Amino acid sequence: MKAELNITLIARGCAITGDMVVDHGISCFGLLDGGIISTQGLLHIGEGGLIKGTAQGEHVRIDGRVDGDVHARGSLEINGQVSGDIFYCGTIRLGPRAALNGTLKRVARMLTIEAQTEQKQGAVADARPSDSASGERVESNVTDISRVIA
Amino acid sequence: MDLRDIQRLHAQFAPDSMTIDLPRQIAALPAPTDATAKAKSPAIKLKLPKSTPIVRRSVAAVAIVAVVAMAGMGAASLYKSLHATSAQSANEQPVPQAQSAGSKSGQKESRASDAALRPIDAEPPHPVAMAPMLTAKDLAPAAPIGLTADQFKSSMGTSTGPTVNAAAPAAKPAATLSNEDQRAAASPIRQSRRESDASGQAPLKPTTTAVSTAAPTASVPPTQSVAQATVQDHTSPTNAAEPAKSHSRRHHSRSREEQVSEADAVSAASKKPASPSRAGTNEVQMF
Repeated sequence: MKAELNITLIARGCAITGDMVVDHGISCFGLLDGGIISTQGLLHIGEGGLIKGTAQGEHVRIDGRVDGDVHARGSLEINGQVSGDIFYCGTIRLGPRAALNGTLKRVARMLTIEAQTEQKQGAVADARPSDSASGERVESNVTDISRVIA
Repeated sequence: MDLRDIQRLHAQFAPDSMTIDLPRQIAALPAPTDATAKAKSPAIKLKLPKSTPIVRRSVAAVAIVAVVAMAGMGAASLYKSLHATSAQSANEQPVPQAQSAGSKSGQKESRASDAALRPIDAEPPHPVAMAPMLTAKDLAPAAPIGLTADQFKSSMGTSTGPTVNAAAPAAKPAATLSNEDQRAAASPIRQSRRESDASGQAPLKPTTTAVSTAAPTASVPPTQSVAQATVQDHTSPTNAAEPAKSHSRRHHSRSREEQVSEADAVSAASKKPASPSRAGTNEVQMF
């Protein structure tokens, strides 16, 4: 028995405002104004795709552009542009077109991500979209993750 | 990037935990273990059928032998019992032959029932009349220890020496001894008693052994010294065939004169049965 492969595709020319939470893989070739959480599978931001918010996923591949923090519980492959801090647990691969504008931290593996915590983080991110580059907020996020781990 | 490429890309990161591919998992199992397991089990199965016929044959042979042996034992026991009953009936047949022929059938049935119920008697039959009769001397040991009135009188009346008294009463018992007494004295029961007495008394008087062996106890000359007479008194009960003196205490309690008289009388009456006992005393005296 093999599970069906469910994929959410945000095609080119599609713009979504708000946070997205999916329990399977997602490919974004459009515009998402908000955070996105993929509990399992691949979170793929394809070429031409833009995420204005936090991106969290098990396996993250960024070929486009992310204006926000990136959390990867598994593998992380960046061949695009990330304006934010990057937290990863497993492996990280940087492609030739990778452009990182933030800190890079390796944290303990988080098996699950609580939805409320993510929603709070998303709310905080929405409340301070202009302060995303400030170091104080990054520290708060790090402390939240460590609390979750504990 | 078309849809196929996207699907291929997502398929690479699809969670494998949701995939349960039994044929693939089975094919991924290590082959050598299966090969050895499959190779070992037929070997055992092949060995077992080879060994089972031998075991079966041996077990059958042993069972047959056991059955035959049991049958033989049963037949032997049956033959033995039948032979014993037939021999017993053959032994009992001469007695009823003297009786009348009319009562034979009824007596046979009663005999068969008696033979079946009677316990086995291993001793050979002997007539009861031939057994020695009980006399007063057999009951003498049961008498109270001490001197009777006659014995006391006799002991008081004799003042000279034991040899004189020994000669005087010796005549009377010698004369009064009957054939039954002699037979009783010669019986093996008395003999064994005499031997036991001799073995019990011999170690008590080792000093008198030389005298008793040198001089025969049957005839004591009256001219001998008193010391020799006393020695003779001690030795005479051991040699005599007096049947009633089985207890050692009785010898000590009785007076010497009576002992001497009885010893002389009985030894004179029955010399022949006294000889083996004397030989026994001699053997002990050599010790």
